[in-house]
Amino acid sequence: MRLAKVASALAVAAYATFVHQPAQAQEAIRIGVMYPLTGPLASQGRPTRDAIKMAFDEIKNTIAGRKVELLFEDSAGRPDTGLTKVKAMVERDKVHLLLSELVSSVGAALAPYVIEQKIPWVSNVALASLTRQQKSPYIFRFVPSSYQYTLAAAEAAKSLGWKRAYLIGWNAPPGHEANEALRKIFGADNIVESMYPNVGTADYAPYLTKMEPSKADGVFAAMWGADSPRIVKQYVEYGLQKRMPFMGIASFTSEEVLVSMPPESVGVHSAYLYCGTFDTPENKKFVADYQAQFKALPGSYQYLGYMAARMVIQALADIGGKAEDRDAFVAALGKVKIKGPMGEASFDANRGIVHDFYALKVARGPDGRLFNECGTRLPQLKDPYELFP
Amino acid sequence: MNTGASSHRSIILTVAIGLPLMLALPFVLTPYYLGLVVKMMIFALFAMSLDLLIGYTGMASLGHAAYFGISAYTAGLLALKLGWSFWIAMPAALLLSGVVAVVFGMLALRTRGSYFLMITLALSQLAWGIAFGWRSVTGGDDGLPNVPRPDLSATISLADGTNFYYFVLAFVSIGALLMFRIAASPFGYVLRGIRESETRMLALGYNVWRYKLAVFVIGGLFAGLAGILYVYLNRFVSPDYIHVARSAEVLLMVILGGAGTLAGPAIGAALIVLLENVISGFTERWIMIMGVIYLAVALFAPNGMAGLVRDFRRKRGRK
Amino acid sequence: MNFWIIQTLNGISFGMLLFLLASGLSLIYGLMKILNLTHGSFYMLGGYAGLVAVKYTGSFILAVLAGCACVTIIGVVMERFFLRRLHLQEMPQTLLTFGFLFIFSDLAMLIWGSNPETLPKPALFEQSIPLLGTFYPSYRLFIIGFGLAVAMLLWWVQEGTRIGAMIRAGVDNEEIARALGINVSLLFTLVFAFGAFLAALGGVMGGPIVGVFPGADFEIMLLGFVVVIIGGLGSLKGALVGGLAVGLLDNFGKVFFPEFALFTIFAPMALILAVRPTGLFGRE
Repeated sequence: MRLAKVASALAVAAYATFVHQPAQAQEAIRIGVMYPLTGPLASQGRPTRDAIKMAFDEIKNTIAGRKVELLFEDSAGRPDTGLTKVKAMVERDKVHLLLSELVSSVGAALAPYVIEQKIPWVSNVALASLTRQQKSPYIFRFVPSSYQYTLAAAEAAKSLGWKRAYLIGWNAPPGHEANEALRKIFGADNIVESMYPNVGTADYAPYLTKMEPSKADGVFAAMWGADSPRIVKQYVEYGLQKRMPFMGIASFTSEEVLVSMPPESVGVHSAYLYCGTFDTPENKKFVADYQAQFKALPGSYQYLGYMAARMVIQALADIGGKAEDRDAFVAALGKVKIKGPMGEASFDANRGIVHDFYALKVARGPDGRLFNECGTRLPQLKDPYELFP
Repeated sequence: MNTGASSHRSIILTVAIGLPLMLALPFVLTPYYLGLVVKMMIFALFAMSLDLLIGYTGMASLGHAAYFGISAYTAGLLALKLGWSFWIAMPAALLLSGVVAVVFGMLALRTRGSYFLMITLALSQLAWGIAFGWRSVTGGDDGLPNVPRPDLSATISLADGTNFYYFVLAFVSIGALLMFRIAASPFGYVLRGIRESETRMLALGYNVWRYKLAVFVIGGLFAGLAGILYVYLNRFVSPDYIHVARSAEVLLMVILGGAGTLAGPAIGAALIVLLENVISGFTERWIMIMGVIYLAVALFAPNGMAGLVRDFRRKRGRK
Repeated sequence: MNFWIIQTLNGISFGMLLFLLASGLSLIYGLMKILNLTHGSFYMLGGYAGLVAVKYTGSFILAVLAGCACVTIIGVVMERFFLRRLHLQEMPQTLLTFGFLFIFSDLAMLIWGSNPETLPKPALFEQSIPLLGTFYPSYRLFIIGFGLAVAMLLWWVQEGTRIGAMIRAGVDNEEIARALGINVSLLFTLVFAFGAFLAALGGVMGGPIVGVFPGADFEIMLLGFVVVIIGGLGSLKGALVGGLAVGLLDNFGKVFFPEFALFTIFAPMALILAVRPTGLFGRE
């Protein structure tokens, strides 16, 4: 009998918690913002989320007279967790669109669901397939694909006179795709060796001691987060930095990891679409605002989060805030072209980002702080679909 | 030694109340919560399968996700690359996870205690390494997306949430029932004997090693079943399914619920899935909250939630 | 030949870091039969505390002291107020140490944020020195020497001192040790705190190479477990041999089978356990 009592109490409680529906009249535009907020990738997820919040605060969370409500979630960088939470945001919270995620394995898991639900999804996932095999009118990739950013790094390296190079990249899709791209651009024989340490490798010594400065003009590195300051540190430690230049691919020297790099990182190259010291009034304001609010310098993750949010805001404004009309929204977002801190941003026909890139080089200021020197501009670089179909 | 499984009356009562309740859920829950209940059921099955090892036989495994993941990959690959129907893919996936469990079991069963914990971990990491490294087949870190949900027949499609719920409910119920039967059978009592004293069972003439291998494989098979259901729920599979973090998670579910009761781990699993998905929407400090919950249970309910219920009953009985 | 020597040095230096971590883990298990899942957190917290000290004082030695002191205190508190209540209860101990792992990882995120950090090297070992026609970081050579020194010190404590004799008695048989009038309760606190101390030492010493970052706790803990299991739980010799073995396996695995880097640690571990179920130097 006791069990029966417990069971009926549970049933009542369950009914109260699960079956309760959100109020019917939805005044606010609801946007699902899910990033990795815990685990090793939180170092990228948290800043992105903060910058998105900042962009919406700038417009006082109002678009075309309509309130905007951001729903935050944590994907923990795990695909199944991310999928369950996105389902919650879409099916339970009835969000109008998703502005979510940067981890490629999570992105790969979300894509089929997003396509099936026809929910607009603006992502920061660098997965090349999002604008290729898995492309859909509802999926926007507001971050360069792995081919796109490797192309930028390769171009920058070529202008430094590199002909032969090593690659050390994650034993994960971004690392392997960087290898594909480099071999295609430089010629397969000119990549002396490609090495793939696992994500989170503690000790790079075995790889570094295999590299011979006499055989190559430089080293490409395709790894990020905690791994990028660590490999630079060990690269310097083994005396290689003086003998062979080092080029980080994509956000390798992004400002938020730059604070963890050793002083000897001066001279490390990269090529990406954000440069903290870029001299425009818009960028100065962006840096100052972010710093005032979050007590840290913004880097490329913050920039991409902020700009993705502004693209969404613009598209919503263009359709008069009618977020319910998903097809109108995705059509409008496809056409958005705005000028931000780093110049113009837009989407290509496959809904991948089009943006200026800059050659970057780590330098040290008089206060001893490391910063990125903004070099040559690579204007309006697109995902190279013709090279990598 | 009251093990829950032995008290038939409470099982019958639970089934009598629980089954109609579960059958009625699709009529009251929204699709999202129905999906969450499906996830809870799958992990309940997974946790129960590990409980056979930990709670009944005293073998704490930290590599149980291997069988979950191997059958998930097999089912996913067969459906995706060869287009096999569910009715062939599922037995094939179970078969493979069973075979792997036999091999891993034969290696692992030479050890005991903490060594057993670690060798199962090492073996599961090998499976993880294959899933992660064999990119041409497994898709590497990104895994395999777009695994289709099977059609049971021309008219019953599992793409429908309610149908899928009943499909999972059927398999989980059958699985749970079988495990309760196993636990209550003479075989189950031999396992308890092994847990209490291996040497005594040896002296009584039991082939302890063979019993342990048998339960290891049985646990692996049920974990494999849970893995197959999980692929169909998520419609993708990734190395994350096999990772040690998942093995640790399911181990925590078992201990939290109360090892050796089957029902406890099932509830522990449901609770952890629920908490993870509910708390994290409110606060980004959810990891700390989970930590505090584990701490509190360890200190105040060292035998898990099932132990708490048992103590409570005993106290009332005395009054 | 040079290639082999350099790669061997790499493996040994990483192995020494693992030894620092694993010796405490092994000691704690040997005496208290606790598989301490919080050990990686000790490593990480030691690294973070050291980082703070080095930022404010600029001294690596103070960083070592600060990191070790903080974590030792945490170790004392954990043993006295929590673990003590669950003596020899394996399941709740697992749950408890896992709970602490979660709490510490989130606390670290709260206090130090999510950015990866590395500690600066002590000034004395900043440079790489020419060695066999290439440059070799002097800090790594220092780690090797330091690890050996710690190993010898530990061996002396275990074999040559009164406290070492007490620990050995406790490891052999707790009941008899109690009967002999040894304050086993105090010994438990001491050993657990000392294990935490060693992990923190590993964290600060490894900080300039490995760094500290969210998730380091779990990664490092796994490596530590592999070491003690290969070497045998409760054995100091095992922790040293296991540490070196894993360091070398990891290193040569990456050199020769880069695609299967993880296999080269876990496959030998499974193999060793299948042949010797209690590790190389462990006892039942």
